[in-house]
Amino acid sequence: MGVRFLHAADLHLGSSVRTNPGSGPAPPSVCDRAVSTAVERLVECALAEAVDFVIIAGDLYDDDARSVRSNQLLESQFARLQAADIPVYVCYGNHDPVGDAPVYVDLPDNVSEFDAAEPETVAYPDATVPEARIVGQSYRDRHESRSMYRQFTPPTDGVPTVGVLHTALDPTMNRYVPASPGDLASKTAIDYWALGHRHRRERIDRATPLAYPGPPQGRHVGESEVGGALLVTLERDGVESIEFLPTAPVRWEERTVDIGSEGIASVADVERVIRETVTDRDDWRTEFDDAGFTLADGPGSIEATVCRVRLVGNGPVHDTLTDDAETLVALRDRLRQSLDGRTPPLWIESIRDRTGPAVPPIADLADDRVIATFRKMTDTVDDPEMRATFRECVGVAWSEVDDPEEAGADELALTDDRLDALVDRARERVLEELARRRAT
Amino acid sequence: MRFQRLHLDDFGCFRNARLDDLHPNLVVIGGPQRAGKTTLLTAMRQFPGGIDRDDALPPATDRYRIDATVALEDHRYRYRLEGHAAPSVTPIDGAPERTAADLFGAVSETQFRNLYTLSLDELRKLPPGIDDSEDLARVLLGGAYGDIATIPEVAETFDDRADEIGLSRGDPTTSTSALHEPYERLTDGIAAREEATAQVAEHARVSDQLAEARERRDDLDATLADLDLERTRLNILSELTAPMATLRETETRLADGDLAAIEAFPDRQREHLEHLNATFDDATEELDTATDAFERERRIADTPDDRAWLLDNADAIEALSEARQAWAQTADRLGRQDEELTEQRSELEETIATLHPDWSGRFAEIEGIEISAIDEARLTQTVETVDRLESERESLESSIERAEARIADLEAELADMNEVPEPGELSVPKRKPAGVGVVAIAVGAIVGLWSSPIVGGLAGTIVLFGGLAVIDLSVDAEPALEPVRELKGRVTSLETDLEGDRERLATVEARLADHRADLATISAELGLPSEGMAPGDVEAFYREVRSVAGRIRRYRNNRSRWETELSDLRGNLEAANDLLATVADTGWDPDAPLATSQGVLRAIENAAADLEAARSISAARDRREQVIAEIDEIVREWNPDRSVSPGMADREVRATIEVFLERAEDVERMRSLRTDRDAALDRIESRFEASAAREAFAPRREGDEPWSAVVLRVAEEYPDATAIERAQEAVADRIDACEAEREELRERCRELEAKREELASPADLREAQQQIDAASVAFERLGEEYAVNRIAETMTERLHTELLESIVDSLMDEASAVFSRLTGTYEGIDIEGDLETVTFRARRADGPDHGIGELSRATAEQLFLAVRVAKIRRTSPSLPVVLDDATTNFDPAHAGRVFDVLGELGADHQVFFLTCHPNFVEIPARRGMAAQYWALEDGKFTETVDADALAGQLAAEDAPG
Repeated sequence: MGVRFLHAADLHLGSSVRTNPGSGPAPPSVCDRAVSTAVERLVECALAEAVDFVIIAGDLYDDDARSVRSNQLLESQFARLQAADIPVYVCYGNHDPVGDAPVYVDLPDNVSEFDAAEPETVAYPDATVPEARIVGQSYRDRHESRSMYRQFTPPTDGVPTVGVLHTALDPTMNRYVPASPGDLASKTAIDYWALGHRHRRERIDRATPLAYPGPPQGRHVGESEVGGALLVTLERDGVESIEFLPTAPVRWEERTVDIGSEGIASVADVERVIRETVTDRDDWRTEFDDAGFTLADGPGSIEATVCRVRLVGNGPVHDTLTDDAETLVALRDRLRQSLDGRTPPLWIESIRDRTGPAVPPIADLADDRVIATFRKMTDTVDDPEMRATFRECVGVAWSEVDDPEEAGADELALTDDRLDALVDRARERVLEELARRRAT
Repeated sequence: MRFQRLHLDDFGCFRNARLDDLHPNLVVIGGPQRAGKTTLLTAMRQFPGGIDRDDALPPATDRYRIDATVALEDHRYRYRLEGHAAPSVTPIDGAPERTAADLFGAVSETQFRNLYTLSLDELRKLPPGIDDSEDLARVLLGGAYGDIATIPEVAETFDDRADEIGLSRGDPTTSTSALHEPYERLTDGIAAREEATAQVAEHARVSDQLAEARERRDDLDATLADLDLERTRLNILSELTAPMATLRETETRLADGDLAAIEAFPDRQREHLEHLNATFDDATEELDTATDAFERERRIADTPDDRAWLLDNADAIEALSEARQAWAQTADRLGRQDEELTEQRSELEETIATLHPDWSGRFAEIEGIEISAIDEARLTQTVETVDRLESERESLESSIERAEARIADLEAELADMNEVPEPGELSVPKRKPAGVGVVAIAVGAIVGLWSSPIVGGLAGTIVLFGGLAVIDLSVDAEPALEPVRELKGRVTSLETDLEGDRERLATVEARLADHRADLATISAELGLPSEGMAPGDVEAFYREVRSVAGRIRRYRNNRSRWETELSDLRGNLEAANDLLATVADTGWDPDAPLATSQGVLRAIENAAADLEAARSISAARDRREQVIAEIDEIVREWNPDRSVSPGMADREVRATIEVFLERAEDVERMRSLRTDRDAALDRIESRFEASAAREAFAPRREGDEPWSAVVLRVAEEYPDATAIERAQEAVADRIDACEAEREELRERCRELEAKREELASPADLREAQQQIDAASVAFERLGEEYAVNRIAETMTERLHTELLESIVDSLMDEASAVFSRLTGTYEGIDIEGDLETVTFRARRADGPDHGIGELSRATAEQLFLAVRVAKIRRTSPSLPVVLDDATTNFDPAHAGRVFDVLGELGADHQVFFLTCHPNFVEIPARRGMAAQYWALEDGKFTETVDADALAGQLAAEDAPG
């Protein structure tokens, strides 16, 4: 006797797809409600699959000041599940900590909200003859340094048990429930960890499977995976299957265009190549990175694609692109105009310039003493002292954080990954400059 | 690169000075002061870039010319300098092509001059005594100098870029920073979003108020809905007052009637019976009229039996009546035809008698003659042949007669002419008459064939004589003899023609006799009385007989048909007479059918008239019976106990009809009541076809109760129409009050909705978010750009440091080792200052360091020599090194160490040691170094045997006096 349930997380209701609208054509209308639509599809999945229950592992709302509309949307969707006699188990995360969060509309009775004070264990369908147990705990504040999982002590009577936790799964990150995969796996009474917080689907196989479903709908290019939820079948002897159910109506993409490619000598060429690149569509399902999951059919299809274009490489058009900051904006608007009316819609979120001036191929200068010295010096930039120097010089607009979410809305999050990216770009810049000077 | 040969053909004091087969490692050239050593040094400095235009160069006698052979690796090249042209490098013995730059590699002219070709003066120059510090740095850092020197520029570029974006700190709050604008938009957007979010609580309060107002509005809507239903009910009750009254009244009256009997009464037959009643009256009247008419107008039927006989034989009488008219016409026509046939016979008999008196008008005489078309043709042909032959005979006879007369005339004329002298005889043309004869024969033959031989003969004769006459007229009388001959010819011709005619005449007469005999034979065969008749008459008689025979045949046929028709008429009238004889005397005589036919025909006419009257009586009776039968069927349908029959008197029948019709009127009245009731019900029920009516009364309905019952029951709650009106007014007042309150609430809801919308507008939130997103893009872009440039700047600075350290430090390490060997007292050399202000310090192992200024002159020169040697060692390619008395200030021990170092350097470099000191010439030899020794004197090179020889020369020149 087992259970089948839907595991979702990081709904972030109240936020929206960051389409970066301008003065030209309006973004595809589906983007306005994409986050809500994904949640509605989530519920449709649960109903269609006739799951036993639904788990949402934190960050239902995008902000602790929960909006009325988001509250109402959840209430109406949970009511649909209630009508089908499907219970919902919810823990709140760093974006919607229990704290003093206002509640405008009471959620239906089929919703069990884990308390923030102590871990709670609930039985499905009831405690008399439980078919499954769900244990979890909500965030009290935006930052939660308690290792809550230590207190997750469900009975070890063979009833399939699910642990629900919103965590970065990093024992060094004290703000988001410090824990390591091994820590969670050590809780042998728990058969499956339904996690939230990381915004990409991920399965970490230990003695007990740990899984992140990612958000149902990615809101920016950093969440470019097609969002969805996990359909988990849990038997007494453990997890039988985990399927990924796509729910996102909007797909994020980042396309790279190398201005050093042959045939690019003007902004018009760049525009042409971008158009060719972004309209060369593929089916994301064929490139599905399973990450340990089987891909199942979701309730809806991709209704629009939001694309960020990254210009890279070195070429003569670099100077034109950088001479006037409006060039990229105008290029973006022209592309939006020309792509307007496509079915399904295709929206250019922005064009990011990462190009450099036309320089001799760096490889041709491999014997150059200065370049060789520089490359050797920067091949690995993991020297803590050097990284510290870099962190100090990036400017006060940057905030050094472990998690991007820690940065303020008016700050730029300087995570290790971001620093690596900046250093890479700086390294390319220096190489380009040295190469250019050597060429002249 | 090493020199194998060096020819200074024209340079300063050198003219055709030659150094051949140079030693590859160490070449010692000794010469006194002003012998040309410094000029040689200067000449060798020109090799990298050609002879420059520096005025300080020693002048050429004619034109600068230096010619050398150099070896590089395993190849040889001719190296020439002419004038100020670029060096010319020519491969020798198939060596690969190379240029001067290839030979000198990355070593610049400055480096070559300062590192590889040193004079004592230059070696002794100390910082800042050397030309400038930069030169020193360039010399020390060599090819890397340019890159390293420009690295700070690269760093500065990144610094400038970062400064443009975010000044020195990348602080977005600084208003002059480019980061500030997007940052400000970002923070404004965040503030706007927070403000909108902060209004959520107020939104909730307004939502509660809105919900409360809506709830009250919903209550009012429900009340209004109830009142609306009540108003509708009352309106409907008011509308249906009349039909409800009708319904009640008709129900009461219908309750007294036998509705079952009404349903059973065949009232649908009422109208039919009324029609039958009228029909019955017509039928009885018609019967009476027909009976009276028969009695009054009957012709032959005197008794009822006769009337019955007529009806029994109605078909036969009708058939006779139909044929009567035709028979009458036939009898009349046959009578007329009989008269006509009789007249025709008389005329035929008269014609026959006229045709042949012996036949006495007998048809048999004519009918006895065999008439056939063959016979007639045969007769006609024979008659025509006889006629033609007779005509020809007459023509021939006439022609013979005329010919004889003509001959006689001609003979007479000839006789007259014979009296004329012979020469005067008339000439007669002979060919013309012959032509006329031929034409006459042809015409006669054609006409004879076309018509008959006789006619042909006549035609030929006429043509002949006509032609001859014409000929005759044309005969010219002159000369006289010719006419005589002509006349004789004509006579002869006429006589010939005459003889022909006579022969033809005999033939014609013979044939004529034969054909006349044939004609007689044919007439006899036909029985014609041909004797005494001309052949043409025989044919005419035959034709007349044939005509009469046809007329006789037609007469006989007409008479035969007449008799047949008469026989038929007789038979028909005989049969009619046989039928009618029962009731009438017709006077019929079969032997005189035409004469007695009228009696029979009249009897037929009378019988037909009586039959018609009898039939009228019968038809009237049948119609009455039919009407009574139909009446009986209707009466029986109503009441099986009631009946009518043909035997009943008319009044009895009419009484029964009257009873039925009275009952029908009663039924109709009942049905009218029921119709009124149904109409009232329909009107009430139809009112409930409208959903509004059903909704209004649905609350008062019990089960599937009919709507009419519901409305009647509800109406009972109101005594009269006035009570309903009062109730309507009361409901209208309540509705007005509720609607007014609801309108107030609606307005209130609108206000609250507007307020709530204003408080928590998703558009505001979205707009704020969009502003944040857009600003974030720009802020992030600039922030990244700032960070990248700063990191790039940092990297570049670090690169600069690292390069300096890696290149200069290693150089100093090697220089320290050389310096230590040269001095024996110092441990090494340290470098101070940056690239542009570099200075050296001599490091001691057991004492304080010394700056350049603190060292002795020789030690300072050894330090710079050590630095240069170190640099030369670390520089590729290997180039010749020229030292011009660079060790002058060294004591022998130090000089010996210098040669040790030079000896090691010579392994990779060709070293030219120029000196005027004999003791320095001897050092290499004493230290066992392989070397070549040249003496230089007044711009001329002379190779010496060994070092001692050279030293001796120098010592001699150096000796006083």
